[in-house]
Amino acid sequence: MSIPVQQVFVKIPLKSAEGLNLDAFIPIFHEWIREHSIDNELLIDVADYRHVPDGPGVMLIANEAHYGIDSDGGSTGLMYRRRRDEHGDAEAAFRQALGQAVRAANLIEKEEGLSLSFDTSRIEMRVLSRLTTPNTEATHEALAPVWSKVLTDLGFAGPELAPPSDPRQPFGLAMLSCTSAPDLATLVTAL
Amino acid sequence: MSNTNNSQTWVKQLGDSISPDMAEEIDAFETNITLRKAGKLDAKIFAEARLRRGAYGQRYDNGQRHDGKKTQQLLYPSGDLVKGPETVWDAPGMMRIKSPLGICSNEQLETIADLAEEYSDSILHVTTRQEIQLHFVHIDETPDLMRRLAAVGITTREACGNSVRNVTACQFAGGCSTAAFDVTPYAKATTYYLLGHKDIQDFGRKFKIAFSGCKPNPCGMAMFHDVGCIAVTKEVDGEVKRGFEFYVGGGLGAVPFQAQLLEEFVPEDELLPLCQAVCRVFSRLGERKNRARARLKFVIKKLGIEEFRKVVAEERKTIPEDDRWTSYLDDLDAATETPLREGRALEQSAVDALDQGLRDDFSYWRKHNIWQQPQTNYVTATVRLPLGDFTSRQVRKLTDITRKFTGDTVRFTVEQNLVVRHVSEADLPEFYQELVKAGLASPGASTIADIVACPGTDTCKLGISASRGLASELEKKFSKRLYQDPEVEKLHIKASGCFNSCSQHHVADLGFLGVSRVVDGRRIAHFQFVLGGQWANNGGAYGLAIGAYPSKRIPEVIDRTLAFWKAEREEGEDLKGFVARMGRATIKKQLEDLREIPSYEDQPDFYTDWGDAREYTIGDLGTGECAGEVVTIVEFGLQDAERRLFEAQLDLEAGKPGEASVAAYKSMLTAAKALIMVFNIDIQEDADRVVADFRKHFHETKRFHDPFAGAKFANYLLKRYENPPSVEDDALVAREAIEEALLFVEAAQGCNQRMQGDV
Repeated sequence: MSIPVQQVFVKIPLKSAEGLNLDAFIPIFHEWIREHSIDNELLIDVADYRHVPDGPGVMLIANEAHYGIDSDGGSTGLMYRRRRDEHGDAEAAFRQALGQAVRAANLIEKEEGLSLSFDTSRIEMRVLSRLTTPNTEATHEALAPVWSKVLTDLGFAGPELAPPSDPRQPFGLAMLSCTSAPDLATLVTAL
Repeated sequence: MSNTNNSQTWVKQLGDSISPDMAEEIDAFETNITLRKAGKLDAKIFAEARLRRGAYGQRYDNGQRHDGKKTQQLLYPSGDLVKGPETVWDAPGMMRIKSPLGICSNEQLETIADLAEEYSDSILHVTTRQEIQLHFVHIDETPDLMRRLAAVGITTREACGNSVRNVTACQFAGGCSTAAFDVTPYAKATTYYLLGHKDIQDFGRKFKIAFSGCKPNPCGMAMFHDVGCIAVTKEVDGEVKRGFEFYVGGGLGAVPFQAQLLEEFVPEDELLPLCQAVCRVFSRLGERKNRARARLKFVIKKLGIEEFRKVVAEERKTIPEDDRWTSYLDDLDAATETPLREGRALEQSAVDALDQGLRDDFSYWRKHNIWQQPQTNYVTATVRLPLGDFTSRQVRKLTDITRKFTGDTVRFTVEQNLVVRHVSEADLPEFYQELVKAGLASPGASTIADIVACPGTDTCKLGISASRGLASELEKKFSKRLYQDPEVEKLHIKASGCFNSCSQHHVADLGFLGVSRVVDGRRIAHFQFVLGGQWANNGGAYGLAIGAYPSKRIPEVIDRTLAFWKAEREEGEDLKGFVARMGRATIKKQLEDLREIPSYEDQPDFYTDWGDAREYTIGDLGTGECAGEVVTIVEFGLQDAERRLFEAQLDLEAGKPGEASVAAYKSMLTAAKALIMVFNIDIQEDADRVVADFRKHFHETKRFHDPFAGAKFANYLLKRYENPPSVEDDALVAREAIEEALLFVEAAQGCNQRMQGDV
């Protein structure tokens, strides 16, 4: 029996965070709100956490999810975190979250003056809700194949996933490496 | 593989781990949510119910947000459903989590970290009341959030609303050499005795209690609380007895009041009944209709401290005996924390073992972040949290550290930090290294770089200016340690987004409160600059504003002020003494050019606030020439009111409180007259005429009403008109008159901006 999941978190790391200027994301996210740049989201506000070491940086707060340029957990990248969704089919939830994340990352890659690009071969996925998905071996056994299938269906070859981590952290499946990974544009089309 | 399904709920998962009482309370709250959604519970009643459970509103929860160019409707899925007047159901809210005395166990911290990840944004924010706030929380998720807190012994009951708020106390209590004794068990007993007590359920306003172990240090801040208890001992019949200096009626907020001494020595067994008696008097005599006058300080002001003392004494006699008043005294040691490791002296070899770069940083960190405990070879370490924020992941790293080095608890501080107590000195280098790895080793605790800020325009509905944005900018500036002056290093900066003083700016050396101004049809964020406050002596003196400066110029305002002080100070003269000696007028003159506003065309960035890319104002005035002329006259009048207000401050400083009181009143009349000119260009400078026209055009029409505070500021003028000031007024009355006049003039600025059609 599959585990129903909710609150899926996806992070797509930057190829290089060197020289990253978080300040630039404040006007960008305000502009996204003004222009309703992300489909299927009610964008609300920008939260500035630049002062927090290895924190969520600059966040875009929305009704359905939060986005951000996040450095929590050792890598810096575009973060998408779903909130307030019902428990549902894991594969569908993973695809939905990944789709929103790649679309946002794609928008950032297109931002003039940023010159940022994302590394799709190290995508991280977490399930924030602990109610049905505690960070255990059992959850790992149940959900790792589902996440692998999502990735393989999208054209990722040989994704190697990290083993379970500190059980106090949310359940997560970070991609340590893969033989080949589709680029953002391909993923945007596929999702 | 263990199977689960989506019928799983937190109620089932947590089972009996929640006490029946707490479970019932939370179930009742969840029922209120259901009733409200079904339209069977009035929005106002639901709002008070959720506030009493710690669920607060947040900015933009009226469903509107200005995007820098225009106001956009936020079309939430819940449509017209509201969780309070003009508070949209789906709009993100703030959840306040009580931690009495700021104490939090590892398990509790880790639970809050989980909740921050799942329901908020992975950020835990420490407040100036030693508790945690989570932002962007949906009201539907609050019952489960509360259940998960209840399962680890935390309640959010009475965290907000008209109730006894989180009881605060020195973070060093039990590990402090200046304290008369450890106030921890007394503050805890007070917390749990009053929590949910029937005598505190009918307050007209909130009620704050603080405990301090000594008088000179500012950890407890007893002097600006409704009840402030300072530990003292007294010899009675050859025996040393514990008790408290018991202060009442202090408070910051819009109009700050210093607490007054109710009793010099309240024996420990009288502490709870006396607190209860004060609460009962407040409940009975406190204002109900006018929230601006509903705090305890106004009851005492009305009665006078002597009469208040009599009333409380009479009330005390009527309270039925309660075993809980003294039962906790039998086991005061239960609150004592036991160190995990043996206390050993720090050996230089352990410091030398650090890398060179880390060694220098360790030395600076140790200078400000370590508090020597009276227990031999133990110290308390302050973990400085920039703007009071830390992440869920950092929490787990922190609990790893406390489990390894100290034990089970941390305490949050009123400076938005936390302390780890009972660290063996020998462990400090290793302890520090672990903090560095966790991103929790910011140095400079309680220095000029350790800036306190309320949420301001980031998330607060009342925020006028970006206090956190400003604080972040100043924190970056002062963390570089370029000032090279130990006296500068000692200063405290506090920034509030509005007049409500949530950052406690009145007791800062350099305090700021958010206001705004309109120049050439564009609104610009400003901060009033408050000088002369005192952080020491439990917040022993309140500063006064010397003027409003553009938000973007505040770093320059600070630099200029500090440079002037450093150049002109006498030997050993602190900033407060310098301000008193030089006078505010002299300092203000030094800063005069910093009030200037560059044109929008030259510096458009000046028209945004710190950390926010949106233009702070939009110029859609569309006014004709005639109206424009009148506006100019109004603005001149408002400037004149500010000048008179400043003169009032100078009078007070010069020891002429009566003149100050009269001048403050005149500044209000001047501001009112300036506004009236829009309707009656011939208005005369006569109090009767001004007030009559003000009532007609601004009060009765609600034109002057503040969007959030309502008639509060208008009433300052009307009240003074009914009871005009006198040259016989004392300093207390004059100070209050000045504070009220400051707010009235600010409200007049706001009213003028609204009349111009600015958003």
